[in-house]
Amino acid sequence: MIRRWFWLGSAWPAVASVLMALALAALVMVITGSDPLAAYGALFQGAFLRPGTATRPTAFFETLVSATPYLILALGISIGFAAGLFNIGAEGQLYMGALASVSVGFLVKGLPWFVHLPLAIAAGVLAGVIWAGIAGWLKATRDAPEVVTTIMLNYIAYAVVNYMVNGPLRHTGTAPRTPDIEPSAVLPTLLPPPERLHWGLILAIACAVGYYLLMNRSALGLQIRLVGENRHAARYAGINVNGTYLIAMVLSGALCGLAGAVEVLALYRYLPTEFTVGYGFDSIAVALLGQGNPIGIALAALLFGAMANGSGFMQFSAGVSNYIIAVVQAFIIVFVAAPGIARDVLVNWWARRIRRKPAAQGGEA
Amino acid sequence: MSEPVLHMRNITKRFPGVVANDHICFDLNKGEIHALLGENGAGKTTLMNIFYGLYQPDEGEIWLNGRRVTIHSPRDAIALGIGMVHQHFTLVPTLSVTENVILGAETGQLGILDTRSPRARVAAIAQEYGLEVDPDALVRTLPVGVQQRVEIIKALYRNAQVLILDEPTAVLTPLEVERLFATLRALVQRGVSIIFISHKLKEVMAIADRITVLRQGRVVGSTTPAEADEAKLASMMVGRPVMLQVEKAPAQPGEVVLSVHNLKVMSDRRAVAVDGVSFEVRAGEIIGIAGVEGNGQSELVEAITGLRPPVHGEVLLCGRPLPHALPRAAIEAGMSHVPEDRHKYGMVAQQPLFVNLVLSTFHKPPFARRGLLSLRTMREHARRLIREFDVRTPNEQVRIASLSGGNQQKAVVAREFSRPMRLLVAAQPTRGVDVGSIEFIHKRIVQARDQGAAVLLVSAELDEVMSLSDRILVMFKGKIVGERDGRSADRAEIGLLMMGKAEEAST
Amino acid sequence: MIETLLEVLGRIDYLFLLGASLRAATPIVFAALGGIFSERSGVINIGLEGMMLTSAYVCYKVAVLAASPWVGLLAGVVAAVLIALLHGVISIRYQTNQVVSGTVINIFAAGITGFLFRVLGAQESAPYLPNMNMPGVRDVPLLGNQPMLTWVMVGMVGLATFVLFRTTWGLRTRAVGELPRAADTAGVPVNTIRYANLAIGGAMAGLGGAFFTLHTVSSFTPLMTSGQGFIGLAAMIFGNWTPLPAMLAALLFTVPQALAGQFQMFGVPLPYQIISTLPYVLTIIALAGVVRRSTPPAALGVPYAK
Ligand SMILES: Nc1ncnc2c1ncn2[C@@H]1O[C@H](COP(=O)(O)OP(=O)(O)O)[C@@H](O)[C@H]1O
Ligand SMILES: [Mg+2]
Repeated sequence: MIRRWFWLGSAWPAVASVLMALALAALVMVITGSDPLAAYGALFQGAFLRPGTATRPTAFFETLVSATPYLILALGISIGFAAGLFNIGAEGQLYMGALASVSVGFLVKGLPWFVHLPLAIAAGVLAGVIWAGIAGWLKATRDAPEVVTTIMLNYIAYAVVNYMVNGPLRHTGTAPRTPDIEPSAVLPTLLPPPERLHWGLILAIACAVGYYLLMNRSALGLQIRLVGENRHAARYAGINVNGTYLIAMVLSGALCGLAGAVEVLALYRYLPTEFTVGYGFDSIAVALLGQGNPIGIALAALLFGAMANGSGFMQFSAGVSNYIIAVVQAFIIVFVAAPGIARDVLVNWWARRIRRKPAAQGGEA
Repeated sequence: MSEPVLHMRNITKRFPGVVANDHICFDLNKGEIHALLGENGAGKTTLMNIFYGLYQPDEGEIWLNGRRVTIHSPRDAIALGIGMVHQHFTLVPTLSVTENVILGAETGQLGILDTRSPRARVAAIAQEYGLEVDPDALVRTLPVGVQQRVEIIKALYRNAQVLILDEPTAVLTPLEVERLFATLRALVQRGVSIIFISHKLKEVMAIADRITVLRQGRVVGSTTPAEADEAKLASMMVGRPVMLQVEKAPAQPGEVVLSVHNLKVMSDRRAVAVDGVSFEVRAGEIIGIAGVEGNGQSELVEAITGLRPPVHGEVLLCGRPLPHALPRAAIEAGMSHVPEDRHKYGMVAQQPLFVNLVLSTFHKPPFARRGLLSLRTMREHARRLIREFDVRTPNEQVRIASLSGGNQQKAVVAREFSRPMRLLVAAQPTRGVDVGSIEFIHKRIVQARDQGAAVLLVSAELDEVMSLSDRILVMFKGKIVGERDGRSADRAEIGLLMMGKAEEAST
Repeated sequence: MIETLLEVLGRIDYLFLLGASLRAATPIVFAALGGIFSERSGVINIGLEGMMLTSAYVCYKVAVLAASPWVGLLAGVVAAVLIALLHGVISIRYQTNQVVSGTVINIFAAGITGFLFRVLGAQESAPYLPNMNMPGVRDVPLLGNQPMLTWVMVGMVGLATFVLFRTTWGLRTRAVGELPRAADTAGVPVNTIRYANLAIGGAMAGLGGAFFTLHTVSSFTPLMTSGQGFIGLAAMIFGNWTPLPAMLAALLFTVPQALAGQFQMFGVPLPYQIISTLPYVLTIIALAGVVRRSTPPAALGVPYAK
């Protein structure tokens, strides 16, 4: 019973939310004069079906590449949720993780890959831990609301990255970016080029398994949940509530930092000024959609990865702006946040259909 | 006999899993005090909330002054001349008395608040019915007894003709109860009709003109104080003869287990809540702390259990000081704590019963090894406690929220008693619990004492303190103002001490 | 070092500094006021950022289309109110955790405005709202002439104080935020009051959003509100949910940045990235210092169910 199996009963609000959001976005497309069926067809094709060529990677593998950071970030955010914390600073932790990993990746030289790569990843994780840890520590010791502090830390992280990339860490070329990392720090791909599918996916899946074990099998996971569900009772039962906040925030930040490390060590291999604006926020939606369940989070990450990856082809072949997926995502989280809306809309729709049939007798006198 | 002001016919209200009111008929005559008697969970509050428009009945009709009415909201109820003093007060602590009284019935032009003329009316009403209160005081600074007066003034300010009082005496000292009764009689004189809710037989016998008894959502009968006696009412209320007195042998106090030295503790609002309190509790005795709620008992308990660091003084458990603000240290040292509000502090509602039974021990063997949980051990442990403590539940996997109040409390008691126990701190251990569970919990507390635990009992129910304690300490405004032997203590005298009238009590 | 510092301090025009700080604080104070109304009624409002962003976009677009900043302002405020009511539906009617709901509002607003901006484009610049001279301070150079919305903000701080503490509406709002059951049993419709205060909060955020596109720059860029809604929340907490102190807190967050700007102007080398982080850093420091001593409305975050 501590386990919440991802059975259909608990999944339906999420599924219904996605369907209703797609329907509403279709409406937007109709209004703006495009063909939603063609668009969604192309989106699906672009996300899952298009085969690769000599220069273009296979669509499905690219979807997995896009889903990887979503999955890692959403797992991190979900750990916060379980403790009743809203780590909406995933974005900043991701940035700091990326910065740290890249720095270790190009500043440290002459190490074998089996030392350098783990070191670079560890640097990213550590940076995420520190960045989230600041908010966690302030929450634990000063009651500072993490919702505000993590957002503030995002903006500070943007500025730090911007400063470093334009200043101390800038490479000699024209564009503001860091130098390339050493080959020994590259997180390798799983398939030969042009495929980009990389070891980050394996790491992400390992994180999901770890998340499952933590939340459902470990004493620490139960402790986090108890604090999240009733911190007063947890405190009375001898649980160190503030310590738990710090731990949850640190774990959350570790995953977000890892996501940043993976993105830069596997894909970019250097650090640009802005590289993923929005991953951190979209992942909040992924986490909400996944409802704390690792399988649910993985499916939600896949969905968001598919939308991110397929939207380009959709724009190209169906002429619908790829930004329509932002609309889909916006509607998804509204419905996920309030499943009652979807239910009531559907029920009203049915009720009206029924009422239109032979005038039903009123039940009440 | 005049015609009834109120007539409730076949009122039925269902909540998930329970029929709170089952075809209840109830009427009220003009100028009478009609008591609604029933134990916790009988459905008294639900019935009155329906009358006051807070709930809608599933079935049934309400007739007021000969007209059928539908009451959609408290607004409707107020317009119909109904006033209610709720079991849990409905005063905004941060507002003044006058502001609380006029809330929802404000006067003044263009939406600009006028407090001057209402203030005068509040003073006038207070004067007329002996409801002394300072109209400008902030409610949070007032003792509960005075807050209750504000609640009554609030109803009268809206010209209530029918006044409902839901368990009004629960928070009062015996003397304050007398005063309340005088006010009620004055009100009845002026034509107000009163519904008086209680589960206390003595009070009902003293004040009511008529008594209707509720049990498990049904009316079991109506009577008058002249026709009934306490024993009869008790068995009507519970459905079987009740053991009103706890049986216990004289205490055999052993060594000192808990000693509290000159303790000073602040409240959440940073006011002094416990002011230089010292006492000792020995193994094998029950020390009861009597007092009106809000006189520092909660803070005292929190300081003893390590939940609130004191600003001064110390707490020794078996001669060793407890590290401040480390509840787990207190637990490991053999302290058990039944908290005053089980919903907030005692359980995690969404978690299954078996998790709630290991809330303070899940991290240790046998429930967890190397950080991994053993759900099987936790469930087995739960099944054992469920049997031993007579927790009525379908199984150990249901959410604890789905159990009745009495069974939730028994689960909390089971958890706290399942650890090696040197000191038991029990705060309001039977609040909101049915008579069967009360008897059971009382028995277990005495049993714990007899097995050598030191027991500190804190309760606002004077009768509970009087019947269980070997020694009684009375707390008033953060201080211990009196100590009495449990066997020879006099109820009226303790009542005076609870109001801070030590001189009168000792003479 | 010290000499240059003193020299620069001597050359700073303090009136100009105050004016610049007031301007920078304008959207923050509007957000804080929006937060005060909704949170005083018991609803946490993390979504102010999204409401401001929505208003900023709608103000811009409608002002361009109607060729009138006034029509744009009106439309922006209405849009922000609608977003606020969406927050109400999610968190009051469906009783979703209010922080989740607010976060949802922010993501929703970012997504929708980003989409519209990219699809509908943003080449033209919007007509500006006027700057205004204030009678009394008119003759004070540099302070007297300020964006209209800055003066509206100052007036709104006074108005909000009056409404909250001197009117029936304010009394009911505070009661609903402290102990909704007390209001309900006194015949005050709790959720109606909450919706209405959310709408008022939305209108405040709408005015704040307008500041970005109708005063500061005349075009829209995605996510341009850059956390000011959250800084407003921090100002609200710092000001203990009271308008005037919240405004002073907002100034506390903006004065150092304006000051740093002056230093830079006089040739003190400060990287702009560092200056730009000042309000964020100060916000964190302020929260770390003050939350333990603040007293939020008692029913904040708790949906009301009978
Ligand atoms: N809002 C509610 N939701 C579900 N059950 C309720 C609610 N209010 C009361 N009950 C249940 O209805 C029964 C009667 O409760 P109540 O009227 O409060 O009893 P009393 O006032 O006599 O102690 C109890 O079993 C209680 O648990
Ligand atoms: Mg009751």
